[in-house]
Amino acid sequence: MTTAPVPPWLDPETVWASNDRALEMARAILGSSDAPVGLTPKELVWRKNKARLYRYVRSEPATQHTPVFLVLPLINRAYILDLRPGASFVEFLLSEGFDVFLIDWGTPGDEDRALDITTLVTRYLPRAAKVIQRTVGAEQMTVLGYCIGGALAACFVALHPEFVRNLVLFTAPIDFAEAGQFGLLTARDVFPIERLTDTFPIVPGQVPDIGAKLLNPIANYLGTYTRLSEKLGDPEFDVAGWQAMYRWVNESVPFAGAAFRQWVVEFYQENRLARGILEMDGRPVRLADIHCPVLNVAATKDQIAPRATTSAITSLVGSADASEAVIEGGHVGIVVGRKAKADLWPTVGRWLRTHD
Amino acid sequence: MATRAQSNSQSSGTPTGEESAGRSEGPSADPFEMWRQLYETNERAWTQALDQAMNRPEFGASSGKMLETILAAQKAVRDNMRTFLETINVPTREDIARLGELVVGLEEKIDQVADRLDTIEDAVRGAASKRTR
Repeated sequence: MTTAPVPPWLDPETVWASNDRALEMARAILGSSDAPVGLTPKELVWRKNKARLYRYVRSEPATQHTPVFLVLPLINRAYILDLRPGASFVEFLLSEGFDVFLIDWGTPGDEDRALDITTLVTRYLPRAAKVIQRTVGAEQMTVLGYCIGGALAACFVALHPEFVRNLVLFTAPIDFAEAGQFGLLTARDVFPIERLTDTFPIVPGQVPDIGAKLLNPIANYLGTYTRLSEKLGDPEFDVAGWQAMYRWVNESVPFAGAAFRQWVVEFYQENRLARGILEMDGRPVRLADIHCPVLNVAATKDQIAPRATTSAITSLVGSADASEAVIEGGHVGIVVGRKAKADLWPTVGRWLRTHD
Repeated sequence: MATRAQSNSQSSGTPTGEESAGRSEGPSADPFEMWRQLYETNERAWTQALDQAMNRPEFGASSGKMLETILAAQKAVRDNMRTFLETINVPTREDIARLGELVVGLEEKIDQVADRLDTIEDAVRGAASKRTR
């Protein structure tokens, strides 16, 4: 009697190797929620409602005169600019001799349903800037905004130029005339913004998160895990680094209803900021009123804030010194990771030193 | 919005030439390897197909309708829950949120008072320094 050959998929070696790989993947994914992030020591210097202003601890006095005030997006965790040691823009700025402050907007609750962007720009940012002035003893600072934080920073600088020596924007959408797929998804006649904010006083973080992932669904939903399974076989693969990034990507923050409505209606649908018709607290917000030096950083493969939305700022501000650095990469990739270290950070460091 | 393009932030994970050569020797029985080959062969086509399907106003309109339907269902659940909690005399989320709003409003008022004190302090300091000159 002859025995049938064992089918290749039942080969014990393959079965156990695949089983181990599956378990390693599960361990990497499940362990990411506890991945250590935002480890650079910092002290709380001011708080208002859920917002916190932190000053990063320097071991030696700052060698640069102008402190850097980081304004982060509302829908992401603030630790993206201080992801982990060696992959931290904050750490880089400290090593360059700057005093670094960061505003973390925190997580809004139902009681913040009426909190809009106007309130954040006119009541939170000026007070935080005053605290920075007092803490450091410097009259002016560099305001650096990332993504939505960049749009907020631009509004703040337009309304309060007295606080600002320089403005730096990282992939900040400003002109929504050609807003790409996000523009299509949030178009006035298709996006039920009123019903959404009526139903959810605090818009769940998954709403903008799913919208962003749908910009490249194959890569975001399948590619991430395919690449992980591949990399787990590489002994040099930095699992902790992957976990930190995975944690950030999946740790979305809810959006206060009024802020979300204002963002979609006044920024995306009506494009008020770029058209110069945005008003906050009865005051016009004109980008032409920004006269300080401006550095705009755009990413070549940015699907979240396409080049057309970010690059307009240099022609809209009234500054004589407005330049743009175009970095190869995507919306997040240019800020953290190996490419950030090689491209973005040195570019920004040089610019800040020459504008100190 | 600043989220999500995990693919953008990670290294490409592209296999080395040696690895690719090893993999191309024949069909693998490893399910991960089979998936990788399937993914690598089709990723571009899938992405292109989805891009074409989704980068159109019709997709925006359809997803808007889908969202509206989900919201209608969600709103019905919320309304029913609120009615139920009110009937059994238990505070609803809205009741607690209203309390929280009062606290947040109070904090803003304190901030406004602090701002005014700062302005007065600055003015007094300015006047004092003028007198000493």
